[in-house]
Amino acid sequence: MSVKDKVILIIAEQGLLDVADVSLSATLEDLGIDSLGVVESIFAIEEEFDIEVPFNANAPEESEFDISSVATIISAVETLVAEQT
Amino acid sequence: MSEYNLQDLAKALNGQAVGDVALQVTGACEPQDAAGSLMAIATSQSYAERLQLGQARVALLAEGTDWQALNLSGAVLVPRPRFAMAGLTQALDRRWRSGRPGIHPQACVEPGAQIGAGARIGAFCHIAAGVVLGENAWLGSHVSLAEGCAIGSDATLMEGVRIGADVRIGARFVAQPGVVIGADGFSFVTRERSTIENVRETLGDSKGAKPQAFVRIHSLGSVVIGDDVEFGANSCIDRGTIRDTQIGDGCKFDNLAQIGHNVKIGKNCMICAQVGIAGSSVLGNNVVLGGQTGVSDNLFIGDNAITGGATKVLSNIPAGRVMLGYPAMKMDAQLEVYKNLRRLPRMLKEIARLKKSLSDPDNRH
Repeated sequence: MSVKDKVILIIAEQGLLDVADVSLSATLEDLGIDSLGVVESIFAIEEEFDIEVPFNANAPEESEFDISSVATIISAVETLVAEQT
Repeated sequence: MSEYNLQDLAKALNGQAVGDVALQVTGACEPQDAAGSLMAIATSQSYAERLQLGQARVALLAEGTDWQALNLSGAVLVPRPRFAMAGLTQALDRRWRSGRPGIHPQACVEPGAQIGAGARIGAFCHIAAGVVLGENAWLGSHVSLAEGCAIGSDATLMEGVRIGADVRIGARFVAQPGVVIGADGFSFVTRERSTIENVRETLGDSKGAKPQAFVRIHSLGSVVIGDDVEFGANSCIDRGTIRDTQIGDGCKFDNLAQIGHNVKIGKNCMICAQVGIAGSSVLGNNVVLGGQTGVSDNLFIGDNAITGGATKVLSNIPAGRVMLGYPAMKMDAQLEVYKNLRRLPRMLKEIARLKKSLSDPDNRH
């Protein structure tokens, strides 16, 4: 399973959605994931990929980890995974 | 008034009526269920999209919505839809304070009770001597007002509300079913120093104090409540030990709130469901306590403080602070703690790996 598929699976679980309903252009808000849901999604990503995501739980929009859409999250995770290996 | 046309509603909601403004509105419903004189509440984009699923003719819409594109005969446009819900639901609520003024023949009003003009008193109510009930009170069935309590004008006491002796309440009071104001405080003492006192002082050591029986401390104080206060179903406010328990103007309590003896709450606080505030704690103005917040006794919570759901407050909170968790911490600190907690397993794994590489020099990497 690719990084992209795994991230989409995590987000779908958090939003109680089908994987098919998670579009790359969607924001987490579009998917019904609220602020604490974002934090949970990031933990799930950290645990899945064994990485540390640089994020500020209180002001996610200010962190270097871009969560503005599903696509930006995937690319940020891909970068972190690549850095790690 | 139970029927409104669009023009009336627009005026009441400080909005603008468009289309056939004489159309009657008899009720409200979700967009897909609306038809005829039932007004569709379609104040957000996603709700407006659902209009096409039903037969709505009239709708409540956010200012700036292109109502003509929605196949409606008329609409009311409002600047702040959430606020308009207050006026709209008030206008359309037929159950609120229903029935005519009068005292039900099976209500018992003791001699010496003063009932203001326009009161509606339901069946099986008991109003004791010395009660002063303001004008236009509305009492559902089974309400009891004990000796000497005083309630301001326009009170609404739903079924089974109990107001204790000498409790004093301001105007426009609302109590949902089962509210109890003025039960005795939970106040007991032991003959000698107790395990509880020792444990509190030492944070964990009971110092071998002997178990002893509890002796009751009576509540001589009462409860004083300001104007425009509302309590949710089965909320309880205990009376004070010596002075009165105090609730300021404009406070709103959700169901099952428990406010202990001697507590003092400022103005316009919002206390959500299942909140418990232990004895003698003091809250400032505009404090918001999220659902299931617990507040220990003899604490101070400053103006505008907010607690997230299930926060347990064990120490004072300065004004304006946002708190979360048990023990309550500043919300950002709590989230940081949570973040680190979630990262612990990986950190432990990392430490195990490092330890192994240290103890086995050939394996260093």
